Amino acid sequence: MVTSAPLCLCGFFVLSFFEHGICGPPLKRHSMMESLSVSLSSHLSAIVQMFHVHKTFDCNCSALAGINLQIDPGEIVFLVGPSGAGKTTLMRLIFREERVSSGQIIVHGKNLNKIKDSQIYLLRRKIGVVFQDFKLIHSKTVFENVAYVLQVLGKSKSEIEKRVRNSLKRVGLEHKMDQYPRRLSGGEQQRVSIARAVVNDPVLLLADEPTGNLDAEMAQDIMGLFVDINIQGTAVLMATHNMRIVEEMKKRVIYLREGKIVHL
Amino acid sequence: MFISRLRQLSYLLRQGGQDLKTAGISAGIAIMSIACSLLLLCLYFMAFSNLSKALNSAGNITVVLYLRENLKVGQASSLQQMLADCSKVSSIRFVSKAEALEEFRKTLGTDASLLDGLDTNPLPASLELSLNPSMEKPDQLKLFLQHLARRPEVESIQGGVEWVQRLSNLLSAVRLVLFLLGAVLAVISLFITASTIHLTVDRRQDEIAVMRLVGASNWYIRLPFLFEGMLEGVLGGCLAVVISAVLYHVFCWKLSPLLKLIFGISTMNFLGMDKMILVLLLGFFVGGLGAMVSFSYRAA
Repeated sequence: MVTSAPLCLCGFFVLSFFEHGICGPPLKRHSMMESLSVSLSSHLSAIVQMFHVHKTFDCNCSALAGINLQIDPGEIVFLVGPSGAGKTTLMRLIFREERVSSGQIIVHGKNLNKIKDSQIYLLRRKIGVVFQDFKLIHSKTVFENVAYVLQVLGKSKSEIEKRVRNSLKRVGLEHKMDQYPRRLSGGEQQRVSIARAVVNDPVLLLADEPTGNLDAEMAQDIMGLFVDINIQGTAVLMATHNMRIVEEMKKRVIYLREGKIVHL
Repeated sequence: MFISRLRQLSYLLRQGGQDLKTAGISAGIAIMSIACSLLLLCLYFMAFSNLSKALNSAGNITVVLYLRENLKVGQASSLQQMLADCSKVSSIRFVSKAEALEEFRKTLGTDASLLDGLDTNPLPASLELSLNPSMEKPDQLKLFLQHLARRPEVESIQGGVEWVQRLSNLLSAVRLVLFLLGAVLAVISLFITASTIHLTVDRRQDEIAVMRLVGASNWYIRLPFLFEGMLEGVLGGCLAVVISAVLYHVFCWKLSPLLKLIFGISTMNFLGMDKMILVLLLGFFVGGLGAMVSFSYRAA
């Protein structure tokens, strides 16, 4: 997308030349330029773009078909739909846990089809992921679970200490950082998982049914956290069944049914 | 960047150590199997160095060259001169026919009168050679003695050749058997290490999935396992050296008289520092290679 921008600009000048000549009306040319630059910048700055994405599994079952969508910075987008609609598959495509069967996905300016397998980790460092089942490492303490993300990046001990404390403070678990995940409630484990996902200030946070295992009150708390994180500038894509939350939040909703977007 | 890499490396090293602790019995089995194969290597080094030492004491071997009858004048002295100039010979003594008879007479002692009935002196003149201790390789020594036996002045050779031959054969056999056993055990321990690492990887599948999720590179995930394998190898090497030391202290006093009798060496040597380091390095590589095999198996 980045490389196509100069081409688009050249194309614009050529078209403009044929339409108006070198001495065409300056005001009109100026306004066209403005509208093109707005459209280009919106494409270039989008966090996620999907173009005609299809995903078929080995069993020849089509999980996603013809998906086109765009998520901009600072957006909260809900992905809703019945079980088996393709919500999780769509998320897994975004952090390249799965490959598309056809189509293109661009995440933070990188075309996922063109990233080598050995370089995927660099993309994942820009994305935070939260799962319904938390996916915490049970042999590590809360602090170590969150710190692992920064250890992978080779951050200094003092920086890790500072950022992990801040992250745990954001989710209200600073006082439990020395405990092991098994000793925490489901809601607390999900908070740890969120702290881990945001400790490296990702540009995008993917949350797959983050409130699925929690009661209504805890789900409300967790949603509050997502809103806080979003205010800091992180785009959030959340798959959920919980329509009450979706209605309360009044944010953009993508409805999936049988692998297709029904309502955008 | 460099400091960040160092930090990552230090973290991964610690992680490898922790993994080894949690691996428990399976890691213990891998360490023991590496120790067994390296123990054979230690025994090989000890046997080889001590048998070589026996050969080094070849200066004690007196080889007697019996000279032909009716040698032309000067032939014996030119051979003696040639041998005296040879670096492989440390000392040389010419024993004339008369001196040989005299010595034989002394050997017979009270029975020396038996020799009085002889019309002629049947004993040949000879050259008694003491071989240079610097001749370490038995094959080299053997070749030298064969070369001497082919000389026209020499009727026959007594001593040395058979001994050197036997020692050389023994050394070759010991070398071959220990080498084959060591190689087989090294391969077995390599696969046991691979299997141990494989089990650890399996056990930590969920953890590895999380590691991938948070942006750990393939090598970042693999390095702790590689370190674990290497650590198992080094511990196996240490264990092999310790067991060798115990065996040495238990058996060297019992073996010493036997060695003195057969090989003429009074004390047995333990492994040198260079060999101990070599054993540890080999353990390190066997462990590392085992971990790599585990990765390639998993990738396949």
